[in-house]
Amino acid sequence: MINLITTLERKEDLPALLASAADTILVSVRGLSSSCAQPLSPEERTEVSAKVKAAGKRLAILANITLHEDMVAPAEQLMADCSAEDHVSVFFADPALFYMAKKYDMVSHMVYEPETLMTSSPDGEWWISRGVEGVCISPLLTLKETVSIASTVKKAIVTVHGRTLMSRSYRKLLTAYKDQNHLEQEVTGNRRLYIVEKQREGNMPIFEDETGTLIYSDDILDSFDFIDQIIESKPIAFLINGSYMDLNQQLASIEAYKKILDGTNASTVGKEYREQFSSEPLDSGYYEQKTVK
Amino acid sequence: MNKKQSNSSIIKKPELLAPAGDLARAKVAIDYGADAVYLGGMSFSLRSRASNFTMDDIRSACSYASSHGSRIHVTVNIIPHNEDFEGLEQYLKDLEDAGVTAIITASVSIMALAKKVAPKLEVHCSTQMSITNSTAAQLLIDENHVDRVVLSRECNMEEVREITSKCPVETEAFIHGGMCVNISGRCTLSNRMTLRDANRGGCAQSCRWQYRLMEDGSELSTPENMFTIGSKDMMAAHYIKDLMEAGVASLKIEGRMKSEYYVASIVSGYRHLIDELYDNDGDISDERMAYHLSEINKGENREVCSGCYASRAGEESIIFHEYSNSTVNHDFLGTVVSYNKDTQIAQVQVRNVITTGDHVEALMPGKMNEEFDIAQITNEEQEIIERANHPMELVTFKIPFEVNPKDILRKISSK
Repeated sequence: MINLITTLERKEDLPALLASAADTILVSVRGLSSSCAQPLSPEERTEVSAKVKAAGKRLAILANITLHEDMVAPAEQLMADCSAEDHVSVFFADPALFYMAKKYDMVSHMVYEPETLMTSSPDGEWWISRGVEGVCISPLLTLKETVSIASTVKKAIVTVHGRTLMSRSYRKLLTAYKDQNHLEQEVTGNRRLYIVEKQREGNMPIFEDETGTLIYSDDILDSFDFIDQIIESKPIAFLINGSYMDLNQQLASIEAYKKILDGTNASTVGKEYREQFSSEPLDSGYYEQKTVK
Repeated sequence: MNKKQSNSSIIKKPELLAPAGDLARAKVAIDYGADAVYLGGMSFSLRSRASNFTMDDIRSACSYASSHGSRIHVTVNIIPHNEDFEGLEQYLKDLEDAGVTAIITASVSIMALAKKVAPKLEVHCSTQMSITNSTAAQLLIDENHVDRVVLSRECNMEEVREITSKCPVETEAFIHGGMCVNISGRCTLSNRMTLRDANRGGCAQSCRWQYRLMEDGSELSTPENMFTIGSKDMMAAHYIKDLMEAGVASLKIEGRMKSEYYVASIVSGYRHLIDELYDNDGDISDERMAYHLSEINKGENREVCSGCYASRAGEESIIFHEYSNSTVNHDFLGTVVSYNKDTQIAQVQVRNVITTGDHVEALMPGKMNEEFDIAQITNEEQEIIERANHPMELVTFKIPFEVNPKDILRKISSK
């Protein structure tokens, strides 16, 4: 069985997502998540967790920042809090979180999600052999590579839909530019900003918060043309990323992949989806594009 | 190079770790005082556009390093795809056999493989792993028995101190050279825009391009002030004392694609600074510090900042104009080919224009720099010329002190 994981971009989206076919809701938390999604306070996380549990779903916490020393204690507090909740998983990138997971008996609730770094079966197997719940395969790979890893590494998670993260900086790049050029606009926490390369087309969302600066892809990955092969490789879950996507499109995306998992023809579902969102920059990502060294 | 062996009870003398893109540059780095040199092989390494070393080159580098009391580290720092593991096991065994001291890697499975098949190799956890806390380091030590942790370039000095004090193995910190503006390994701008894989050596440095910054369709940037995020290079000479006091075991200079002259200048500059700090238990006058800064800056031709050591890098760390790599200075005049002590005539291979009257400084491994003026230049046809402007041609002129083959001449000022 393949589960569907999706992100909670705005707290008010929760009821709709709980009513959707998503099995796991991935939330951002203040200070520990590097994401454009609205970060939850500890109180909000507790509230959301209870609602997710009541809906019979799982909660996943995105704790994917690289932890500086001053964030180790808050991260440990998060692990301690989560250890009492059996329906909670933690998506992590910093090895320190895994170290803490051992202390709090949370190893089997940990999902390794380093975005760009999980590009091979041996690295995936290394983490699986340590007992984690899953590993997220980098969405930078061709279909062949993705299928190869997912079929080798047990408990693989494949990002199948949504904007993908292109870069993560610890520096506040928008604030630096604002200061340099004396802009009046508020740039921190502003989700309406994007950049366009001088000689190329494509609007790349850019977001800055206390954790740094993120740049997202100009297009939205869709996997409809390749999903049958991905399903055959037996990953444990699909991740549908709602970054810079409105709720309706996110719900439609979840519904589309659910239909496919329930047996509806992927081409038919993909055609309907693309017609519905024909103005969106849908793209097949790297499935058919091999990067070069 | 004389690596002084005094005994400071206050600060620890760190390894000076220098880059090399080929065997010639590896030898230069060692000659000018590097305690260790890191380099990349033909595969498994970032910086695919650096010259990179064959296994024979690596053996030669190890042999040269060993005979000069130095060490060779090899980068195996790609973020590997499945296909990249082909031949890796044998490669690691060959590195061990060649006498390599350590590999630098960011892959947990490569770390484990190296420990299994080439146990004499030290495993250094690459900065691509972005280690910014001691707990993360501890996990890699526990699980993969890494021998050294290369700290993330995002660490400030307080974090360097704390991690180093808690970490049961050596730490290494970056002191000079190019910096990624994004967290190492977490950037795919190049992949997306050029299909060149930043994490497998193909980075097109798209961070240094120009962008329009938009808000809901309105442009916030202007054609004169496009949005840019390229980072200035790091120059952390001011922090060497702090790093030494923190107990950092190795100080790394970036730049496997840099020239022989750059390697000589920067390595020599930091060698002298580290030695003076160590010999004086960390005490250094403002005047002497200014001298060392000046020496290091002579080899640098790009805009610099101090990274995150003082605080989280901000406005001062970004290049806010169109990036150009063409700001190469022409101070590197040439290298000494031979020297006649009796006549004091040196034969020099020209690298940049040499003009009669130039005030010149000689960089000599193990010695302090000395200056002189060029009074008269003679070409290979024994003609007296005003300017030598053909790269690689051989010319002769008088140098009033002893120099040796491979010593480097650089211009201080013109007539």
